[in-house]
Amino acid sequence: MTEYFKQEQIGDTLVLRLQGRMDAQAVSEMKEEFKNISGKYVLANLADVSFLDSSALGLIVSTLRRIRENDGELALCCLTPRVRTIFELTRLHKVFHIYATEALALAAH
Amino acid sequence: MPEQMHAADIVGSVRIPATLSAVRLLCDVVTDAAMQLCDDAEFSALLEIAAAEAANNIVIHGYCDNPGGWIHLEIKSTPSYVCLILNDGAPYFDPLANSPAEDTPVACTSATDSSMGMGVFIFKDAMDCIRYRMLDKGNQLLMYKLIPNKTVKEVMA
Repeated sequence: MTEYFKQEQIGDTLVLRLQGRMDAQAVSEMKEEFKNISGKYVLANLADVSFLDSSALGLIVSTLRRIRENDGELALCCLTPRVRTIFELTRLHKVFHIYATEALALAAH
Repeated sequence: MPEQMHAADIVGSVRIPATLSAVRLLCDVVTDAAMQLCDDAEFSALLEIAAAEAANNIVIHGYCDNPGGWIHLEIKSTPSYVCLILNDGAPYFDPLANSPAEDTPVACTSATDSSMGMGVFIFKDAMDCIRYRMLDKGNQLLMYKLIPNKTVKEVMA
């Protein structure tokens, strides 16, 4: 397991708690491990993510596509204002279900 | 904006090796400068992402991940706007030449991972004006952004 995310199964939801700076360097270190993430319902908690770049966005989008291809869903929660700015800049906030808190996201499923 | 750079102050500079891991150092300088200029989280985030994407492009597409390269960042500001100036010694490489249209949503580009389309889209959208120049040996990218609460009218006055 890399230092960039931790996993916890809560009911039928796989919660990924991402942390730190998610940039091209980080993605190069975690990409292979991220490919193993699967599940019907996956929730990525971004509360502890300080920065995201296009590499990280690409990794998250490709994971979303892979999960949706298997009739699953990848949702996001707890975006900090800085991270939300990047999602809005790239219009990706329209692509994902985004929740204010982890509890709300789990309740919505 | 570009014509008024002579009156600008230097608010930060750094020279880094052209590696993905060193781009973090460059981003630290940008966020420090952003905080000096304006207490606005969105402004700071947009400057940082623009700097990161532009520098990543230089590493990956300019130097093609070859070792030995360098990137020099200088940050200049006036009361109205800030300019990030990125110089490098890579072969001539204009990141704006094949960039996606400005209204293309990132989700619709062919970008995955760190492909150039998404990165260029991001730094073009994050900043207000981007210029590319060929240098005698290398490239220069100038990225301008208005400081929040300033208008174009104020800048041009």
